[in-house]
Amino acid sequence: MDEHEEITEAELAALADGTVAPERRDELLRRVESSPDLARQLADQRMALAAIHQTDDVTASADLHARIAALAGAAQEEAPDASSAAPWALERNDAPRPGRWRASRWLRWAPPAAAAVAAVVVALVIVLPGGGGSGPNVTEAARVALAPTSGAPPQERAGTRELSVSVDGVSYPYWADETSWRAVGTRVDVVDQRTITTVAYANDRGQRIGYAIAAGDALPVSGGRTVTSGGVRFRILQSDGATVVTWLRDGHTCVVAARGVDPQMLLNLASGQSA
Amino acid sequence: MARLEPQALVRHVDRLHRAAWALCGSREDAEDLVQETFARVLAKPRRLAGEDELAYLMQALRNTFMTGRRTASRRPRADVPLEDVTAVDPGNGTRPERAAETHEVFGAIAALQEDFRLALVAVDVAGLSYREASRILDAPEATIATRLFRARAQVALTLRGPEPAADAPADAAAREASATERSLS
Repeated sequence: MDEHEEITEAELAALADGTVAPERRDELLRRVESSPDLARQLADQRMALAAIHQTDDVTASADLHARIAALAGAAQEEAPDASSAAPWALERNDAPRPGRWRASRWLRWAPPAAAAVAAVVVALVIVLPGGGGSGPNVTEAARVALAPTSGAPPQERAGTRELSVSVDGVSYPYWADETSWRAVGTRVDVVDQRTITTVAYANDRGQRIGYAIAAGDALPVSGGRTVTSGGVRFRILQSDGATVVTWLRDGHTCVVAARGVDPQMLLNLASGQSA
Repeated sequence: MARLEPQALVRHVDRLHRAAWALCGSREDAEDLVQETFARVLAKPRRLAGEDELAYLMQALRNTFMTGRRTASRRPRADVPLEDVTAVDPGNGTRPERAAETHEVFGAIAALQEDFRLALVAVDVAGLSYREASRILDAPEATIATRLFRARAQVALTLRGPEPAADAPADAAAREASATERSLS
């Protein structure tokens, strides 16, 4: 390979996924190792591939599998003799009209759709405060949850998957073993005579989550959307550019809030911990 | 030419579902896309003209996606909007962070421009060879490889995420010892 011959993007792509021609591999690697820019590009290729391949074990829902199996079963029964079947060429324009995905022809083949297996229930629920007096609401609790924290990071209570901090017996989760989120600090606020204790979690990407628990009765919340998981109702809303997930544990309002973090991530952390 | 056996196709559902999710950016739209693809393919007897079943199905998926696009599913997004947030069944052993990472990866792929997205889905998600992808996408292999490079670079950039939070230094500087009385009203 000529030293002055540039490595193409196509070659870098093939080098990253292992499909490069064997006779060129060593030379390409040597060139990459001598160039910080090429090394960075190859690292990006491998990073993307690693992330994509982490999804290789993602499966379709049982419901979809059942529907496809029903389609295939019906088609197998109705298929004519193979010798009389004409070959079929995929044509670009023989698909149904746009927007017909939900009015599916599969209904001709399939039995009535299997019952949904998801445990999601959408309902509008307003959580009322127990005391009836004024005080902070969930949005205000989220605001303190997002504020900078201080103090030493709380540690795990040995073998419990809980942190050493708690509010009225309601503990904070220890996530560091199962996820990349580690507790990095705490803060305690008194808002309208209500104590709100926050534990902040951070990951290696510099993202932060504030987990706040309010002492006393549940805080009022409005707006957003409700998702139920494992019998627990979670309210998800947006506030001041942050995603907020709130729910009750032993009658206490818990709030998980973050900016720039996938809402699904927040809900998964909250609901996984609540299981 | 080999006949396409309907019952043999069901083993490709998971792979097609992942490809569809990466194309659409939405798990729900992906299910619709997969179902519609299989409905089309199974509507009448088929024969394979030399390609294997997966390549055939991927071409069908791609055709169905291209001709059946809807504005909502075509709008790429990196984050899951609140409307699409669903609860993870805590009993199935799924790590919560893992489920969210899946959303993030497929969201990053769905945000790619179409030709990059199709190449990456065909090769890296569905597992087709460059040659098979070249055939179903009607582009030379070298072009597929170049699109792959650019698609992966963009995905890596998206997944790398934002710079570390600006308030991180403020935590160390705050040094407040205990309760702070505040009124937010």
